[in-house]
Amino acid sequence: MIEAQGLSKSFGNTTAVDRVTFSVRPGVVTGFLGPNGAGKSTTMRMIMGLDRPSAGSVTVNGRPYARLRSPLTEVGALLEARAVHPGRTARAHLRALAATHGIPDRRVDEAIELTGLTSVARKRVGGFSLGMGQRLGIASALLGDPRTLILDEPVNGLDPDGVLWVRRLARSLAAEGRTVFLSSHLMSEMALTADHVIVIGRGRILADAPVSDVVEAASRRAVTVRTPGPATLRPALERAGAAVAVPDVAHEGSLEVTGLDAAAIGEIALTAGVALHELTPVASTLEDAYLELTADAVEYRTDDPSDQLATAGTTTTGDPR
Amino acid sequence: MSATTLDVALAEPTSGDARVTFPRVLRSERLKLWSLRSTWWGVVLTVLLMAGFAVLMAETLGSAATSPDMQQTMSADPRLAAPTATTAVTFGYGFAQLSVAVLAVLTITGEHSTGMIRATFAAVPRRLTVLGAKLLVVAVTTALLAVVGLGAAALATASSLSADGLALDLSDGEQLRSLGGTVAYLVTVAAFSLGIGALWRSTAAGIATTIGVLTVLPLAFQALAGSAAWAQDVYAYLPTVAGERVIATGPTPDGLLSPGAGFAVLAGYAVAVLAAAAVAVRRRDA
Repeated sequence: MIEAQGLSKSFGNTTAVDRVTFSVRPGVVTGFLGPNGAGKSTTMRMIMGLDRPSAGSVTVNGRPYARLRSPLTEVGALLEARAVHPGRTARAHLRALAATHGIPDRRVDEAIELTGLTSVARKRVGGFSLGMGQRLGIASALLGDPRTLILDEPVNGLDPDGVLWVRRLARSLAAEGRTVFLSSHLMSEMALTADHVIVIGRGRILADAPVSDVVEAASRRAVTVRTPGPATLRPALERAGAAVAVPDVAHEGSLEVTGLDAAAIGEIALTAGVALHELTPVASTLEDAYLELTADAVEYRTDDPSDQLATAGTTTTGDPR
Repeated sequence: MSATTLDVALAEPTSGDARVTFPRVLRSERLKLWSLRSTWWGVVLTVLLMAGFAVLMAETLGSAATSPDMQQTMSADPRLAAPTATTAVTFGYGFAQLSVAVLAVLTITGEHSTGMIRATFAAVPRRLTVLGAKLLVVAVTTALLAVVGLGAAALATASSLSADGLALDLSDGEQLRSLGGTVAYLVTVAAFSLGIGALWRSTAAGIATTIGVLTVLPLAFQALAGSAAWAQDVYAYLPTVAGERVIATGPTPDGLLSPGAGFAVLAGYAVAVLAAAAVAVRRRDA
């Protein structure tokens, strides 16, 4: 259980995290989703007692992290990749961390085996790929068999096999009743892994709900309609209160209709005497929901390439800083 | 790897005894120090420097006994006016202190530059426990290293020194103080350097500062001392100039501190830097 109350963090004039309040419950995978620079890592560092909050508080299993008697058995964390000295071997790194809690070497070897690092355990970490570095981070998170896991971008740099493994690991840890809190900027990954999602943008919580609700709430309920008689159908739909868009001007018979469901559109077409060649409800994805939620909260926006062409040579575009 | 191995629980559940204790953190810091190659390089280098420069000095003392020119040059230097065995045996400290200082700086800046510090503080949120454990590990390691270095130096110079009638005499209080002083001096320099590393957090800045304080400052003030009296006063209180009095034998030269007072000044610098480091380590974001 992680509970944040009015948690804030400012760096000079920049507010990285702005009075966020949330709780992460045991037994489910909670995703922490947001664009880069939204405040995910800062929030996680504050949970771990690494960064001092400017205001507010956060507790893990009811206590501030710094008050935990044996933090590694309460919280296992994968902080941003490479919180590791490259000159040490993977096993030496884990042994040093385990030693602080009197965790035996047997458990170190278990964690190594569990994360598939056996063959490289005695190699120095400096030569590790990003994926192996992530696995080592996960091994250190599992060392103390903790009740709470905090994983910052755990699938970063993993191959498809590794991504699948992390997903299953997160789900099985939650199924055992543990608290699993994992961040990502990849909404597709969240849709597959998380049960509950906390969306953050520019330091503020934009949504805190079950994944399905977030999708539902932001869903545009669009229906794709293809017809040989758009000139008749379009006004008929609009009279019924729908919003009609033509996504591709070259195909004016293809309409994207929002505000009416497929059945209503079919009936209106029948009444208007217009044939329909296609009538497809478009399910909105978490990705759509996410883009909608964070539309105003993206710190580093990539301008439309055509805009860039238009303004090239006159002003610098893009980075608002 | 097998994607089916998802049983993450301990084979045996953790007993209630997984608490973070100072001895455990100490063990962790010891494992960290000795699992890096740089430590081994530093250790070998330190011992070689101590033994090597002792041999050079012993040879110099030997030739001085037969060369009047050399005798004259040496009597001009207060530290060499009345040489004893320890003049040669301890002579490498000036070089060994640099490798010891670099090792001490690295124990802390190596963690900051790599991000390891976050894993360390996540495991041990009481940061002063970490700083204390690092200090103790570095101090004990340096002390052992100094003893081994002096032992190697004594062995390497033994025949040359006794040929010149300068054999090491451990029953002589002053020689014993010089040897013990070398150990204490190097340990204190290491503690000072660890504090600088903790304050600066950057390897480059940490090493530059310690080397600057240990070697450049004395040279700068020595140059100034000729023209300004105040510079001579400051010179005597510089960390190395004050500290190395505890290694020197013979009467205290004019303008310098006594061995005891000199060492106290060096220790004072180390305590001040470590206190500042303790405040900074507690307050700052990792």
